[in-house]
Amino acid sequence: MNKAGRLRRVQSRKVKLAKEELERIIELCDSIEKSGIDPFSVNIKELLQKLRSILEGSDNLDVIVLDAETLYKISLVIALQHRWLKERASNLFIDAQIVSAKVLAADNKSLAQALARSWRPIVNGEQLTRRMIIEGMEYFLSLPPRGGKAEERNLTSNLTYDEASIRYELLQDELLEQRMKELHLELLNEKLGEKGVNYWGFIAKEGEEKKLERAYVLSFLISEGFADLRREPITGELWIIPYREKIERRTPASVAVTIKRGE
Amino acid sequence: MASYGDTVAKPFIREVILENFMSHEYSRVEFRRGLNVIIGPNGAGKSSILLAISVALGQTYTERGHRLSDLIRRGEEAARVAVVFDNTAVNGKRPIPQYNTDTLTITRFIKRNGDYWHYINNRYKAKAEVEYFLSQIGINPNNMLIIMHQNMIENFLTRNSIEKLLMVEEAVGAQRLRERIKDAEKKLESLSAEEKILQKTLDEARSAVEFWREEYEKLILLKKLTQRKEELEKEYAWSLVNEAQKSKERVLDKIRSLEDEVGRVVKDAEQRDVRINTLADELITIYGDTLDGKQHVSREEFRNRLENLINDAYEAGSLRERINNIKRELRSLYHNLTQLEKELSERINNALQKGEQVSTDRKYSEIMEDIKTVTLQIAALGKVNHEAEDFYLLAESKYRETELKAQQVSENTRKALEELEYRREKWRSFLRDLINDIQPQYDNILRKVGGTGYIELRNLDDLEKAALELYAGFRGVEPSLLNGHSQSGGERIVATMAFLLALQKHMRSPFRAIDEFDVHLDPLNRERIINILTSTAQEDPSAQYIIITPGKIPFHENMNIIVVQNISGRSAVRVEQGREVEASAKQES
Repeated sequence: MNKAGRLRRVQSRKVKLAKEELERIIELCDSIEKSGIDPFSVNIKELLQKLRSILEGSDNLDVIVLDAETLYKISLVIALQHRWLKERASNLFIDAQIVSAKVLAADNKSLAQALARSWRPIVNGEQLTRRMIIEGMEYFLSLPPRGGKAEERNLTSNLTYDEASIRYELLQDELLEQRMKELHLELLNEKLGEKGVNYWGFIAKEGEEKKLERAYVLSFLISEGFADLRREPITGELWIIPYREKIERRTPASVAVTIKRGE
Repeated sequence: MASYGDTVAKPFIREVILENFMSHEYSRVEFRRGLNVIIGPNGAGKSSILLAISVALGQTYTERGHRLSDLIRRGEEAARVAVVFDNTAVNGKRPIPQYNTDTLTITRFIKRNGDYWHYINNRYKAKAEVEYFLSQIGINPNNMLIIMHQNMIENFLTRNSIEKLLMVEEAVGAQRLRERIKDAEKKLESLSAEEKILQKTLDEARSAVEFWREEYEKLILLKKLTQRKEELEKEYAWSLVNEAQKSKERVLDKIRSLEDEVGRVVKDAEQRDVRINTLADELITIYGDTLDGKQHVSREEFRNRLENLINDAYEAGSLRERINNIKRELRSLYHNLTQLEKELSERINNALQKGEQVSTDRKYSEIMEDIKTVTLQIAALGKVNHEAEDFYLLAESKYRETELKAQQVSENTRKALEELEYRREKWRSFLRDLINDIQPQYDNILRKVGGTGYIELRNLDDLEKAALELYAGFRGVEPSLLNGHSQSGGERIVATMAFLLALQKHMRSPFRAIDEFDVHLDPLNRERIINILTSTAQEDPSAQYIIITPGKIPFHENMNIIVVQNISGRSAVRVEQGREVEASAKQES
């Protein structure tokens, strides 16, 4: 074997030994992590010194990478030491004997304050909707008065203005469906132009005041598939194409229309 | 420059098996160590072979089909791809020592429903296990410096400089170096950040120890006060004895005095009696003599003598009364004395129970005041935990130990962070050395195709932002950053290939593959790059190169050419050197 060959062999052996040493340290760190051995049973400073001496004696990439791995594993052991400390320190001040002694020594006021401070009520709340308020109100109003003769109450007549407005909104779903039916019928009876019914003309039909409401109801009608909306790419004109029957859409797309007063 | 110390031969792909994979119904493609060139017309199924290698090795993203199931041959339900690595021992050592077999086969099955699974040497393995195993031998099929599919050269250039450096690090096997430095740094810095919290916890622990110290001091005080009270009670008991003793002494003195007095009075009375008798005898004599006329005593004298007698008789009577009184008093005193002795005896018994006799000059009332004071002091202490001493000593020793260990951990963290800084420098120096080594090669290759270039490392101080930038210029133009805009498509490919080739000797993966690198190259540059590629492959015969090209390629002696063509909609693979590997088993039949 020539000189270069011998040198390579020596280097190879050196690398092998370094890797074995690093793997041993990794194994040691792993065993501490996995088997719960006291993390202070290893001398971190010594390990770090040993690691440094191995690294300084080698420029082999495998050794450098393994060294980083080992350093990481040592960091995990330091983290375990840290955790041990935290637990120990916590155990020192969260001591059942101390708590017991303090409770026994505490006066009523201190005990009440401690209770108030430690009280963590778990609240389970649901959002109250107007519908739920109305339902609740109807239920309570329907209950007979305590210790007296049940009194007939006309809910609507006794409602305040606010209550009545809530009641009004409750009826909106029914109203909307009715309005949709009416608008659909109206749309079907419209004289169809070449491109359909002019959107702006249609929503402004009942005057400025009703324009927004008609546009709103129409949006439901279109979204439900009783009509379509087409925008002329050049002029920007909007046309409504009414359908007698509801149609299924395979590729729905969104169209946003800005409605301004007076247009 | 960091180097690998291994003298063990690297593994290489010996065969790739494709079953119902893309256009291949069943193909077994043989490979060799060194340069393997796959050629054939468009659509013949060349790229499928490279894709089969990637998929078998666990690649998640596929260039041609975003879903793995799309790679299954039309009309089939499942596909199989396998990569057979050569693992023959060299100098008694196998390239992949974990497996003691001459070949190592990594297989992946893919089902139409999207399921897939892996085998290594016919044993089931999870994807993560396959990935881990491959990373051990430097293979990541997702790293485009290892397997560069079609259009990936452009893709590589679109990657930012941070990603480019990461790919290079991974390709040379140094990825874990930076990752682990980052991991360790993150861990240690979080520990440093938590030191304040730990200190707070320790402060709270200190307050707990203080609590027990106070309890312990209370206990000590209680013990002192209790002892003092016991002493006072003993003193009080003996003071009562003393008191009784004194009373007894006083009575005895009185008795002694009265007895002396009664003696004197009795004596007086007796003397009086003698005198009375004498006076009476004298009077009787005088009276008789007078009657007899023997003598004549005046009436006056007689009266005097009689009065004297009466007085003496009176005095004698008084003395007798006095004697009686004294005796009565003496009886009473004796009675008192008996009582006192009884009480004294009781007090002595009580006092002895409190302890041995103590001498005290103080009055018992004075002592009682002291006892009251001490009792109040004890009451003021409230409830005292009698185990406080044990708890305090335990808490104190635990705290001291914890405090000491906290210092130790803080020191360990600081020391480890210092060590990390050294590793960061090691990482930086490794990268600088690597680039310094690649740099001349990169420039040389570019010079051969009429260009020039250099490589720069950026932000090496930041583990997250460290980056690699490639610069290239052609036809006398100053090198500029290699990106999608500054150079032509062909120039970009040439520069990327130059970088890739310059990197080759540092690549960790036992093989590297590139698909259709030459599509945008002019014939001259194509030939030049192929020549460089060929010579690079020849320089390192232990590495395996797989290149795919639709065009002709100058044939070299050590080159393994694989020709792929389409036959009745199926791909067939022909390995030059006169041996054909049939793509379709059905075709053979």
